[in-house]
Amino acid sequence: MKSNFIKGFSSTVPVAISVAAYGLVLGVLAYSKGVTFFELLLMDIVTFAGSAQFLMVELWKTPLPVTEMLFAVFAINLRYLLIGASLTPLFKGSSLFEKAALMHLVADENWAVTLSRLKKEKISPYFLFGGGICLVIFWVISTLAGHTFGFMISDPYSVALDFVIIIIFTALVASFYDGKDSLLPWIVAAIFAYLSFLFIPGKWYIVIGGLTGALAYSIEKHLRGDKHE
Amino acid sequence: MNDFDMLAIIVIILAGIITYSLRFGGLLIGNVLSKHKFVENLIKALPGTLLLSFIVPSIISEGIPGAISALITGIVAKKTNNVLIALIIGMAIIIMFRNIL
Repeated sequence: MKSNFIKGFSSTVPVAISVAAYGLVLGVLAYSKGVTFFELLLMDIVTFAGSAQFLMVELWKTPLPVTEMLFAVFAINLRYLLIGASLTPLFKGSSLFEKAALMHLVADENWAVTLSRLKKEKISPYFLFGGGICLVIFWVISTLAGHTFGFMISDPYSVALDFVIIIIFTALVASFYDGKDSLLPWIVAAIFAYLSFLFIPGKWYIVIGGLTGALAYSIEKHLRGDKHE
Repeated sequence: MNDFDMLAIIVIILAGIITYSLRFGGLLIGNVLSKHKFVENLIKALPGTLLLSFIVPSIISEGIPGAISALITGIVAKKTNNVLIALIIGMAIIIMFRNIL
């Protein structure tokens, strides 16, 4: 059990280093948006989800757009339902308490590392948890470092700080691109997102574009008769 | 601590509860979910379409430089599988456009 934890921790270090790079960027952005040190720390530990935190920081203003923010967090983290579901084999034989305790620190990165290892050898959920602890340490340190040194960036526009998140998401989007399968849903999402951006106040375009695009995918699959595997 | 700070703390905690419920809930309903292909497909497509919807208006507002930078970032990310390299190249392009051209 203990060795699984350590194995998980050490196997996740390389990924955690690249995660720390986004952490730094998030910290700088959070500073420029007026998120306090403590709020960022709380977010790192309580939410612990990179893209959701980027979204929250991006939406951060006075007064807080509470509904949009929470809805966006829900929508962008819906994938954790699938991630959680895919971990069912790993947790076979674990108690409910163990499941509840170990699931909090599941992120895309330690999930991916764990599932690829599970294909090769028998590991316990503590491998996943070790990876989660590794990530949370790197995440907290890097975001808070970015926040602390954020003041050094004097002209956010010329270093294109406002565009960092767009570029990061563009790179992440590319990793979700699934060839021809993505074409229709992505075109639908882009069109609805842009129309909502033009005509609906607030940041609802994220959720509207996301849901319409995903619906297009489901409907397309459904019409093609892909109802059961 | 004023009202606004308190609200921020509450929102962060709620965001945490939402995220945790999805993580833990997914594990609990793992077997049920796979039987509903429509829902499964919806959830599968969502991360990509959501992120795309996030970036499209900003890229269009940035004009041609935004489009060039985004396109190259996307291609580099897909080809190298390395988000960091893609980020550096994409940022270099946009910074160049804003400062030099």
